[in-house]
Amino acid sequence: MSLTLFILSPWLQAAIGLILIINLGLLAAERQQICIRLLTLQGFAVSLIPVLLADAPSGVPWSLMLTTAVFMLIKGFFLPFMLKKAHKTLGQSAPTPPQLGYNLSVLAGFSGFAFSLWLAGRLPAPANPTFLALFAPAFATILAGLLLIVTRRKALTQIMGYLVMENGIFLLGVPLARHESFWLELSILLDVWVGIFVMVLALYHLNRTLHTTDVGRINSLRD
Amino acid sequence: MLAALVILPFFAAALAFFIYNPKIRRALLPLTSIIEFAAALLCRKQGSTALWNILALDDLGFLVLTLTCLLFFVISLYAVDYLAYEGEYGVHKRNRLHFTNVPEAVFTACMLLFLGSAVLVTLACHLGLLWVAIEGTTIACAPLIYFHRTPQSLEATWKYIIICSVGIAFALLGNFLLDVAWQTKDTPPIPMTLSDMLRTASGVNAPWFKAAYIFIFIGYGVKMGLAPMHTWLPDAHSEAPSPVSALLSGALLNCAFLGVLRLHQLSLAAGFGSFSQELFVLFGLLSMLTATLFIVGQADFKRMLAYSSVEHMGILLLGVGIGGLAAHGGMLQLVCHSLTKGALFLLAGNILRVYHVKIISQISGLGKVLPWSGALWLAGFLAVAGSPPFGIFASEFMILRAMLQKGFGLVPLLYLLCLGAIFVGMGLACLRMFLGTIPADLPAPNVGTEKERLLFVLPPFILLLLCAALSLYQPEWLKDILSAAALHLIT
Repeated sequence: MSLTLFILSPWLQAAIGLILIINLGLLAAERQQICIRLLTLQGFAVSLIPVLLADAPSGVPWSLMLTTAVFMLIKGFFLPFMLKKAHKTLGQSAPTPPQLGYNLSVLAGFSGFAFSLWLAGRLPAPANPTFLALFAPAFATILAGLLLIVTRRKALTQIMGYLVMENGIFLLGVPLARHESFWLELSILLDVWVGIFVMVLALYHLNRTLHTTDVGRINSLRD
Repeated sequence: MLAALVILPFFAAALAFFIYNPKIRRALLPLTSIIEFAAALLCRKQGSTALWNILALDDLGFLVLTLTCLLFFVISLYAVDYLAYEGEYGVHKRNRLHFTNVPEAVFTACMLLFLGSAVLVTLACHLGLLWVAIEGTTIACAPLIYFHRTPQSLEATWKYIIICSVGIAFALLGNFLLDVAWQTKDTPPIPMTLSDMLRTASGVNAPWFKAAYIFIFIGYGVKMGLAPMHTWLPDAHSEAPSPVSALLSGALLNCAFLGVLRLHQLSLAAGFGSFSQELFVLFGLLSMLTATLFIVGQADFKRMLAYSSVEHMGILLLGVGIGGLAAHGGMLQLVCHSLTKGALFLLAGNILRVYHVKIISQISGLGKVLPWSGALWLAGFLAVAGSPPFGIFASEFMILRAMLQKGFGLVPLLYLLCLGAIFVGMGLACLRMFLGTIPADLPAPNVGTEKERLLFVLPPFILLLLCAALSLYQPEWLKDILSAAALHLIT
């Protein structure tokens, strides 16, 4: 089952380990600044995966290098920069504990990873074995992102949760990428980038208009 | 030609920022959509071939494309006058409303970006590109919902962008799983184009396909407003300005529905037609039941229309799920839903402009205050609730007939119960608004016909007329298109 992880190179295992530890760190983090730093690190780690997965003897193709550079630029620099700027503009506010509490959130993150490992062990073998090897960490990252979105009350942390989820989906998609689908990967990344940009803009407006970014208090629309 | 169809709206959107004359900028909306409509017809006539193996115009895509362009054109006629009335950067301090609008150039550009993304959805024959285009429609609509910059519209925008983005992320995950389901060790990688996937569907890996199906269905189902993933829809539809509500309901939901239909096509080809059909019937009924519960006794008339969209999406899904004649009925329902809901949301804008409230109990005497809009509002209610002589009656009847022919147990009974309850619930609300005395606090100049500008009444009239015409007479070419589209969805 989870032993499929060990078909990966040591550097790749280290990067995946880092991504998983960051997931737990994000679930445990109280301050948004720390979350943004962790997310920056995760963005870099995730962007490196395509290069680490490349077959070394045949060399890393230039198109892959270019893709990785673009991903690193967006996931490791532009997106965290937007979040940092938003955090600075919104100003310091008292940390709002997640609805589950910090301890239970981390426990749920652990359980998510355990569930992902269990699930990966029961899935039928796909044509590409690397996909199955990356399935458990990727699915655990998606679940951690969902947990952040559902349990955190600050809008900025919810955006970070969405980014973590996207990182997980990206991780799952890396083994499936083909050289000819470069345009598609960039289009998906562009969509995600613009999506985050719109979310951050909405966040500014929430703060300016409603004087809060606590989504628990934004509930005037109901039947 | 296909590339031009996609590029034109994006080019027009960019142009909106460089045109400083508001009248010329507003004219971009109807002009672009009518050119798109004509180009779509030309493409069909010439039988354009697939472009780069990622863009193609098939029957289903053509139906949704022409419908989207036509609806956009009629709505943009309304929007031209709407924008002139609202005024750029105007601070509106009315009886019970306070807001500042989003700059008009941004609004126009986002409308055109939405059109471009929707056109791309209809032409995309690569599942990855389809995802990109559907996500594009999500992003383009967010600033449109927040046009009035009220706290409520902001809340609706936030819910919309977060819920739909998470849903669409699920669909992306599903797309990856779909790719896994199609690849085998013995064959070279199969591209994610619809034609290649349909051709090789027999060798699909069943568990991966079902997992992919669930994620994509949930993802696009969120966007389509299927219960129980519909929570963003009533908020966004009720808080958006009326032309945008009309577009959201009449065009955006169709785009997501097209995504679901593409998935259904793959299911049929892979031999999982019954799995897909059972899910369609289940979620179709669930959406209808949920909509019924919220429509009966609904206090807000725009939310009532929004829940009616949830109901219509349920009927669409039910029609395709039942198959046969019902799939044909589903295609007719798709067309009529867009026309009637477009008309009703535009009329809702006329009502809101004069009464300044969305609470049904605070609106009365509509027939006297806005005679044209009032009469059309009643006609719109009859159309949307499935009464003759409107097209929805024909489509809902077709679906019922197919259900009875195929023997679907309790499904026809539940279907009729929901339709009946919704008819009564909406009827009571609409009649209450139409009849009665004019509210005492309504400013005197609003009474009479001077508030009913031609471009506020003509677009909903055209849409309702088309809907009625579809029930009474369907030209052969339209029948052919509907049949051809339905044929893609039948085993």
